[in-house]
Amino acid sequence: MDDDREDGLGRRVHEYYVRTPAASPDLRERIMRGLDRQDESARRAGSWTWWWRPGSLRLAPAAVLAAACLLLVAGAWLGSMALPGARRAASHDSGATVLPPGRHAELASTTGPPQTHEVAFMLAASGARRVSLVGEFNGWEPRATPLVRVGHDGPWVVTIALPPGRHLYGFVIDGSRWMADPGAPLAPDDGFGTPSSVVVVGQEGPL
Amino acid sequence: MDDSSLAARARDGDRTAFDALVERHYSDCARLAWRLLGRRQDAEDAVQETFLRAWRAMGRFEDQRGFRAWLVRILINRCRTLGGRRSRLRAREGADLEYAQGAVAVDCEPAGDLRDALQVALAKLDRASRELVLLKYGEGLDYGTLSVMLDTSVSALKMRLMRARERLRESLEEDFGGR
Repeated sequence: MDDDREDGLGRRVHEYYVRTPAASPDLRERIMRGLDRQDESARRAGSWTWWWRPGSLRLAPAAVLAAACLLLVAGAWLGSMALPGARRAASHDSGATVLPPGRHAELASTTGPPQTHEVAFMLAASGARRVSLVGEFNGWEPRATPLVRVGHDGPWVVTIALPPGRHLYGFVIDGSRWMADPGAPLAPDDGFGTPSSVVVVGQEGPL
Repeated sequence: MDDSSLAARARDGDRTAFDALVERHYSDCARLAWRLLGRRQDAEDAVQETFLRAWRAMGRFEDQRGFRAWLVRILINRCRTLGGRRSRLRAREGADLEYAQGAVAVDCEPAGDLRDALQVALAKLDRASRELVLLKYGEGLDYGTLSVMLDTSVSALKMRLMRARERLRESLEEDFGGR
């Protein structure tokens, strides 16, 4: 079949296409303003996440390790006890667990903004040197949410506060390799070419 | 600096590099979106959303198929979403199918030339065929890039394009005597 532009129909379509009127004169400026607003929103949203960063005043490294151990125990407990109110999208060693209201106080000493739920993320990545959590909630910023490894060869864990809703996320291994959560449902293709996972917070129904 | 270098810097959080990519690609994106959606305002909304999403997702960008192909894929998805939303809105407002299809052909150039005949013929194609024809002949993308971008095999794309060409020829013949 002839499918290049050299035939009459292909050339006519191309001529029609290239004569499309130019975009509005201010479109570029509107795009830039939108990007500025988005960056500002991301900065504001990130301002309350300082508390879980390693080395912060609120959580010393020892406290992080203790919290991680508690998370491991809690993860096993949640998996085996089918704790009412806790909904989990996880395999044995990875996934996202939405902690039930009230229970998170036993697991970590941190609190998020009002109306948020604590969500524990876990990933088994034995060969990784560093792992971070990325998602819509942190602007897909690989440096924003590092996970902490439990022991020398344990899973990587982190707990963050998320508002109710459906959140897309993934993990970044060693700063460059993107992967979806093997223990959680995949999100429908959103056009970015790499899969992401989904966790639903604060709503009933399957993950 | 080429796209690949700029995209690598943007992936590391360099907003200036991303701005340079916006500068380089926004007008081409606007043209494609306009031809896909048929209305300037819808097209420019889709382009704005595309760049906002692209910037949020730069950390996930992989350079295997190039920044432009990645960006166009995001744009096509935005156009599909926006086009579907607009069609549903028009349907709720009582517009019939013919009007919804015709939306692709409005808000364009002055009437009376060959381009109008093509507009109407393109508007009669299904969405997937129209996307393919515009990307192949308008943007001049090769089958390898299109296959990745549209997540469809090369053989399926060739078949779809052949059928789209047949329908275009039929429409031009029926409505405009082959003009």
